[in-house]
Amino acid sequence: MTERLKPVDVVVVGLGAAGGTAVWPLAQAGLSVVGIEAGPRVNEKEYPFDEIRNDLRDWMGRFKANKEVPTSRRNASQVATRPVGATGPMMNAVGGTSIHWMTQSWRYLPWNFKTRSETIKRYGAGAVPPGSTVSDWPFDYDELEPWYDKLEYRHGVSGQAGNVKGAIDKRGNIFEGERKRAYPNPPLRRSGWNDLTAKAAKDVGVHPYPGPTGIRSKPYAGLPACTYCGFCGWTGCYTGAKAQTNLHFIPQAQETKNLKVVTLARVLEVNVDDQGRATGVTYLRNGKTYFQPAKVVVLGAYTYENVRLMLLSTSKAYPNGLSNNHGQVGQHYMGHGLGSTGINGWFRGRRLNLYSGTIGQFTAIDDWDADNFDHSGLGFIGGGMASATMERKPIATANAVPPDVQNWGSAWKAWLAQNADSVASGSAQMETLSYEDNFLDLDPVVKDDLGRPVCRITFDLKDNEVRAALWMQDKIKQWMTAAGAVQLWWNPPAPTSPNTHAFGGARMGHDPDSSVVNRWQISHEVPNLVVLGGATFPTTAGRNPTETIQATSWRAADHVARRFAAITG
Amino acid sequence: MLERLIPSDGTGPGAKEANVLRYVDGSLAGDLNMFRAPYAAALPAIDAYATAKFGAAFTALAPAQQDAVLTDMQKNQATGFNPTSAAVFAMIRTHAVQGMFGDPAHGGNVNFVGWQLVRFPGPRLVIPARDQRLDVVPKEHLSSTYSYSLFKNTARRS
Repeated sequence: MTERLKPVDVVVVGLGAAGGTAVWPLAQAGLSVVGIEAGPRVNEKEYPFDEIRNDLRDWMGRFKANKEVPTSRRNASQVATRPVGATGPMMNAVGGTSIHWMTQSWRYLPWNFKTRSETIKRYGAGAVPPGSTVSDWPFDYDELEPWYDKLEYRHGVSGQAGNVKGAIDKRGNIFEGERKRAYPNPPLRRSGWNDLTAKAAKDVGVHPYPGPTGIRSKPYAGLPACTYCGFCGWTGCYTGAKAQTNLHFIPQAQETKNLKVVTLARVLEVNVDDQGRATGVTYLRNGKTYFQPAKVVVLGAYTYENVRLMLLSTSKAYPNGLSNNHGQVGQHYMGHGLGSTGINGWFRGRRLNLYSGTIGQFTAIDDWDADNFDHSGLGFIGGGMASATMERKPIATANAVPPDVQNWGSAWKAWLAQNADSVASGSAQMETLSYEDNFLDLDPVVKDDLGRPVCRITFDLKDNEVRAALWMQDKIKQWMTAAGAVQLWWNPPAPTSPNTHAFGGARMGHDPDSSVVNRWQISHEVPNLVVLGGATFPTTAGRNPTETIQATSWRAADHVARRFAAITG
Repeated sequence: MLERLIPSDGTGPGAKEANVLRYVDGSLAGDLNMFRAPYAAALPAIDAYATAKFGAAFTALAPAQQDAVLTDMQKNQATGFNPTSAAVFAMIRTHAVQGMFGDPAHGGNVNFVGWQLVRFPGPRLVIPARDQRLDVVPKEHLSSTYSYSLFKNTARRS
């Protein structure tokens, strides 16, 4: 039978980048908080430099993510599938995917918060692509700026500012939104590849800068600096130089004695009463089910998990899933065009030394993103931040051969012996808009290990996104050629799913007919339900989302703490 | 088959010296057990195709004939495979590459022959600025990550 636990003020589902940030302002305000996490506690011993374990088997996703990998299809007429051996995009531990993230720590641009209105203002209503449901955010960059600032100073983000109080500094990103102060730490060390690609970018007439990183370039707040070990993504930092919520937010929240962490527990359902208020969550731990009553329920897990949990939580008040009486849960799904724009280059005779550093050690270009250039006549809106990064690993290197070299046998070996570590790439995170027919729902056939439906992704690239990607590929080809590549190869744009940059499904907005949560990320329908993370984003932006996920989560949790009596009254 | 994918030749050691077979067998018995059924179906299909094309099972063919079978599979021109010969080829090649270039703790890459082929200097805890410059030969530290005391007792298999 289900054991009923002692009621608390707030229960937070998931302790990663989103939930792991939110627990801090809640606990600090004196609220009693329970954080439920599917994974265990981990420490630096769990972060070996092992490409097979970390990158290919997603070893840290074994507790939950790998058991419920979403299925995917490109349109509603297809049967959704997933490959044998597919692993989940996220990991499970206290700290979640803030442990094995790639560390590029970005603020979104002001344009990203007003994509729809700014597009119409500059290019007319006809510039919004057919079928797109893109909407403005319910708040703007200036409102989020203080939260970005707090977050960057808490983590010790390393970077070069480009716009402090309106003063443009060409060493940084001249296109960034105005910030109140510079980054707390200088950029990470510049490698030879970083310098080469920065010079090449200038040669093609754009404005390169060292991209911002959630890794400390110097010791900061009692935590050490980066050692450039080359095993950063898909694992945690053995020295503690990386911005992880299991180092920064969760321990401090626990020190207040107001946060209780429950590990190795899988939430099965958000419970509601007949009036439609959330009453708490039911979770499974060691084969036993528990009901944790709470006055406020915060969904702080990953996009696929938050949406799936809402759709699985059916009740009399919400027969089609929690907060889904307007049919908006699962809608407006977006996945970044990861891998769509990568241009590989052969730098004959060069030893690039890419077996080092981190993906957060990179040269970035913003000239080709957002509305930083005139889109008239191009046939698309948006773009992407282009980057050239460090951190390659040996298996990935062995696979990075030009298409005219057979990728096995003696010819392949001979090519690798001459050219391994002479191949590098430039790529871009492409803005992807929301559309009427890209969405998440429950798979009608495929179940997880508990017999419950997994999330199903229906997603394809539309004309806007394909045109943007092809345009971007041309730009990156010019860039890589200027850097000295003698041969280029690439893949045609194609959707990537499931992936680590998933957005939408519980979009925030003012209107319950086109969004799930309001400007404070509180449900339009369930007055004491909060949703965090990429699921709530109306736009993807053309860059990595983690810092914006954390800044919005901090802001939303702060609102709950300050307005707790009104929200629960 | 692994020895044709990654042959021992004038360039240097291959799958045989790296013991890629030990990696594949060990993985199929452990973390990659979900691939056991696809392998069980693939091996007879390869022999059937080899017999149809050259009159003998794969292992009985000359190296050039074996390469021809693999080429047909990769080009998706071999028949009798589920779901396709290209998919089966990709599965086996993927695991062969993992065994050749992955950490030796998983059974392959014996004596770091894979890492040396792709000029990977080995897992290093601290990398100095010099070793991130272009055209510098970095200091090597060829060892398993699990030989560091920090990771000595870290689980690597589920």
